[in-house]
Amino acid sequence: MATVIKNLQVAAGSLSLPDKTIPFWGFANAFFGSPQTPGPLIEATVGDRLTIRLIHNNSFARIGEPISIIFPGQENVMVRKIPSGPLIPQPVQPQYAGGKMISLTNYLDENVDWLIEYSFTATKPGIYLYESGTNPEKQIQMGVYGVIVIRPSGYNTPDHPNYKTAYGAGTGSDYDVERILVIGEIDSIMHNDVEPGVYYDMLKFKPDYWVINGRSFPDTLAGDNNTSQPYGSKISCKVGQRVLLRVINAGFQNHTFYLGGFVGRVVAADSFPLMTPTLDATYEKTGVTLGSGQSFDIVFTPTTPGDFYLYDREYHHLVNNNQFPGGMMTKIEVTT
Amino acid sequence: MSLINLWVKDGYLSTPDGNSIYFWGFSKSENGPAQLPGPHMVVTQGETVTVNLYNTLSEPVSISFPGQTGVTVEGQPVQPQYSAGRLVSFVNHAEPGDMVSYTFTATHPGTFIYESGTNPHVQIPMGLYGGMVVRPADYDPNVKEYKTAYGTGTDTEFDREYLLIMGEIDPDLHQAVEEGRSYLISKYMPRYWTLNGRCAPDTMLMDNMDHLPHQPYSSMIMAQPGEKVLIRYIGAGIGNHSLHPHGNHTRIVGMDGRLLRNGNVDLSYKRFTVLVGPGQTYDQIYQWDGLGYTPENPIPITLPNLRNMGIGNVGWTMWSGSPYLGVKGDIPKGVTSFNEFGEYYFMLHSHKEPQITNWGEFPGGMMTMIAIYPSLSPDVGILT
Amino acid sequence: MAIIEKRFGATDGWVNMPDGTSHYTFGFVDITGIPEKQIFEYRGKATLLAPLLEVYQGDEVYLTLTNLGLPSRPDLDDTHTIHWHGFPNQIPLWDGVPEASISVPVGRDFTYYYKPLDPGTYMYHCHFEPVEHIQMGMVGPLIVRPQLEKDLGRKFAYNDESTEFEREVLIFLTELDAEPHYLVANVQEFDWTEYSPEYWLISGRSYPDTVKPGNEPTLPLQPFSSLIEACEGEKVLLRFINLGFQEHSIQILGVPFKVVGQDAQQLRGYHGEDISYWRNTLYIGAGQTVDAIFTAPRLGIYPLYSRNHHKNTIAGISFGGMITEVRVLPAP
Ligand SMILES: [Cu+2]
Ligand SMILES: [Cu+2]
Repeated sequence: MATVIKNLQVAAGSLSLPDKTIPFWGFANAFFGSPQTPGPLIEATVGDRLTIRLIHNNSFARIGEPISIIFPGQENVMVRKIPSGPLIPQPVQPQYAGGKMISLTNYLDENVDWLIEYSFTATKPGIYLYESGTNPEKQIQMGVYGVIVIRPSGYNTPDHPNYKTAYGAGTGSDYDVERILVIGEIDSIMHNDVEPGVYYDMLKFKPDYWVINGRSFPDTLAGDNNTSQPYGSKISCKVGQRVLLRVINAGFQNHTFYLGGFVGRVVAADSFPLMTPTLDATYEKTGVTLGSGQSFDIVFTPTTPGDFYLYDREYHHLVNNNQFPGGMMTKIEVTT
Repeated sequence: MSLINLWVKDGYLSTPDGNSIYFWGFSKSENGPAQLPGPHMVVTQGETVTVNLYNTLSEPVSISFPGQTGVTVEGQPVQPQYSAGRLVSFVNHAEPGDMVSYTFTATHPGTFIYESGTNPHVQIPMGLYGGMVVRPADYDPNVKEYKTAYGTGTDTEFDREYLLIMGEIDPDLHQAVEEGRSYLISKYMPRYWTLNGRCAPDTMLMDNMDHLPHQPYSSMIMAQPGEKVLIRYIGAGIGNHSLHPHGNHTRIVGMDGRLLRNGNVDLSYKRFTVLVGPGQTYDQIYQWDGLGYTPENPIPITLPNLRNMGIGNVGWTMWSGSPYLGVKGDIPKGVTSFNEFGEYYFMLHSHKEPQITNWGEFPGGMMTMIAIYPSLSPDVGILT
Repeated sequence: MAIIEKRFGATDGWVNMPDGTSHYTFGFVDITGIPEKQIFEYRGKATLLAPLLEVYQGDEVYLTLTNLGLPSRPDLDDTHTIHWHGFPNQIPLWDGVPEASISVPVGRDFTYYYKPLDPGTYMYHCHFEPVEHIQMGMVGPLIVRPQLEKDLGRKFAYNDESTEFEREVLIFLTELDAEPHYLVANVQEFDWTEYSPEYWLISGRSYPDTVKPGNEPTLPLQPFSSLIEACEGEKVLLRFINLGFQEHSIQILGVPFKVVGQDAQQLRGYHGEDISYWRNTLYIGAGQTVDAIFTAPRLGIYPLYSRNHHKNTIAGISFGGMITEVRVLPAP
């Protein structure tokens, strides 16, 4: 039972699409990091206490409006704020002005407070989003989201029954190769138009780029790096290996993630394992439709070598600036 | 061993509101018409299937077979195709005027889509998709326990079966392709929604209508009370479709050609609306048993004078005029009844209701009927 | 087994959005027991949602639909129907599809008869030109309660003790595109392929109206509150109904829930397997219903919202739209 501390800031930066660059907002590792989307991956083990701080930003461009983090799928999240309080952690609460909700959770006003600190205990393994709870229709679309992976205990201890499993022994979630794929969409016009503190007319929302881990194909194939979109999504494995895809939809639209011709077994939905001691409710699919905010963990085992594309079966999302190939697509390379 | 030859060519679709729409489709023969959807492929589990694709278009075309693993071309696993380093096709394709031959073993029974793997945001909406049914290895249509979707012992017996393939049409895309103009897929806006390539009310016409040479398949579902009707859905478009049958729930027994069962654990479930996602398939069993009303066991209300009621749509109805199955009542003058034998009609339609219009006009689009007949020939409801 | 006699009038009305706009609607109004001479006083008083139809398994339901006409569109003589969406083994006469049976002209009535056998959450709506009449507001919630409630004197979603709950709230999801409402009020045609809503509603209201009490005077024709109030530890059943034309993704921040039923079917496999499941996000398609149970957590307020955040807006402005609140009070 460790304590996992993550210090984050939110900052404005510049995001690169295959054919242009647009402004974006994202989480950054505090003090030294630059903003990125998805935000820094946060890893913890069941039983850990997570303390996630949002610190006022003096080194990069502020986004110019209040900021906060919500943790969908986590229960009993506590919050404290310095210096305006509460100084002792209290349960998070939506925030109101004039009797109307203005933020889904307690937020940080960077002009007043130094930091806001959210804390909770990791109780269930899985993949979860952490994302903006303030003007979320704008801030999440601008890139203010990231992923928390919670591992079962013993996941990294050889000989432990939970070794290399996503949800522990007996859940069918054993894997050799694991890849987190955060899918979503970008409205590049909105990114150019958004002004801090001003409501953006969400009726104009019309995405034109589709991303995996913040990148559009072919950028998805590049490896992890230090850019504003640090996470690659190409998968490499050997014939016979168990590949675990952890797909989570951070966008506002539905997407159908097609498994490149493989038939995968869905082993968890919204990070609830489908195989329990009393029931095996796992099932096989060639592709899965994810509503906004949903996640699926899918396992498959390639039997032949070769290259296979994984993509959004909504084919109009496989373009950059209207040109195929692009968008929400990546590749798995299977070798012998 | 099954050998299926497909020619890719163009043609014109017709819509009930009088539009003629250029499209690309698969054809069964060199001289036959392109059709939407492509020809049904019906094969048996364990069989080796070879599909020869002849391309008469002026761009490369391929076929991907989601749910079939181990597809080969010339003995090698299918692979993505590139041109100058740029991805062109997800699998081996046929260049214009050329052919490509795919081979695989159909390992699992169920319902599958086949579709273009080349320039997919254009070629699939243009019409390059179809359905494949794999019969279980022990399938025997003459023995009840062996006439199943997924094999004996899987509780998937059926009496009749129907395949419904969903799609959408944006006429602007089709016109741009016909005229060789560029088209911005970001402007994609469907105006028609199809079942088996047709919009309602054409969906309810029989197979192979002379005036619909490129749209051979009916979507009318016909059965007798109490029969198990296997309805296979394929989402071939890029939209999600909420399909709602009236009359009863369906029990979903398989998805994407995989039985919803792990060992003895059954995961099938009943729904009154199935959200059909793009590229996905759903096998369901529908059964209408009725409420037991007959002239001898009459309904507990008095039927009003029909002249005081609204009957059907403007000038026509599919109603018999009677509450009872197999009985015909008096339909007021001036209304044409398409009801023949006192059969019951239940609508099956997308509950995303703008999709049951033809370019905004109700009725139309993704809608058909389930007809329950007092008696029906056993030859109806067979997929070949 | 009771005999339930109800009478609903079909007519028109106007609904209010929090931005001060009001929109022309069609809908139903409860006129059960109203003397014949007075029913015309209910013209123009259709509510969004239509009245809740709530019955027990085995009840005999006589539901009379009276077409009161549309006072704001006297030229329009559309007929109406009631379609009980999801009623098993229905016959066409009571299925409400005009093309396959009968519909009710202005000034006439017709009695639908139902003997529901399967408990669960359903919906009803008019099926005359359904794209228009559903969008215009002819939509209502329908609950069939299980026999087990009578047997045990407690509340259950289905005939199974695992579906017990203490409180229940309807979460009825629709969208409103102001343009067709405007055009219908002004005798013009709308191209339904251009459908593009500006308002997203829970039980006929947009946040913050969703958390106002039921039968609020400022919302005379939108009587349904969707505020969820419960005491710590209580089991709350949310009956989700999607009678919009879009898919919706709903989350309750910090509160996972167990889905026990869908489309008025308890989640059971062919051999009785318990296939109920837990989720953090409810993804629901048009024409589907979901029964989900959660246990009220520690004291506080938990927002329920669409994860399609652009829907948590009022004509583009946040916060509003598809949001409501779970308010947890101390245990008594
Ligand atoms: Cu209907
Ligand atoms: Cu309906």
